[in-house]
Amino acid sequence: MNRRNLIITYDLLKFVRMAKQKLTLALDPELISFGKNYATGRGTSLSELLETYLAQLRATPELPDGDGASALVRRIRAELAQGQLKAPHEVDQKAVRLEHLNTKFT
Amino acid sequence: MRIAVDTDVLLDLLVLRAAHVESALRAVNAAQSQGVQLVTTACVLQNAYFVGQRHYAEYWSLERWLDLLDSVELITVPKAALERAVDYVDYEDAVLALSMQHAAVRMLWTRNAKDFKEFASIAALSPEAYVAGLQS
Repeated sequence: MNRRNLIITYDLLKFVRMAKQKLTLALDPELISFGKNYATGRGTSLSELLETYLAQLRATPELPDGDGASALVRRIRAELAQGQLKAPHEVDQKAVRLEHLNTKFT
Repeated sequence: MRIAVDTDVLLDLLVLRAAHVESALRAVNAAQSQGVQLVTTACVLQNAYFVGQRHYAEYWSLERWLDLLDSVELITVPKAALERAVDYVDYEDAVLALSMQHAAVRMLWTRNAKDFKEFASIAALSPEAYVAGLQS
């Protein structure tokens, strides 16, 4: 390895070391054990697993009702927040259908 | 798990019925976030569409209707349900209940739970009661 390659390798190592930071976590021992086994089974480490999860959380846009909210829930939540008119009354749904069917088929 | 939804609850969502839309929305969100699949019959959906569009025209939204369709799966109405439903006072409710039994769906959201008392295998409750049950 020539001097130039050595410098590049040294810079790269320095960058990797600077890009990562150590962190001490307090987790359930069973979860740690599970996490390590899970990571090993997938050819990665617990640190990378957690890092990936946090990166995914950061990349996920916030939804009004949590990650599981469907398009229907998000739409209605947004409409209500914008002051969309709500139907103030109730109709007798069976009576109005019966009336309609009577008109249509008699 | 699957939960069936009756016409009144679908209408609460479809036309934002003031007294009930919040509780219906909370129930839908709670159920969906737990992986529950909402189901209903095509008849129930047709009825909700008809009543919503015709009698709540100023509160109707096509986009909301399409989102609702995306949120529910259909269960089939077997011919046996149409035959056996004649033995009940309310034919329409009986068709829904018997179709649920056929599809092994055990819970129904409705604001008329008393109409389904004859069907022992079905837990009929309001969306509000469903959410309260989750919280207790």
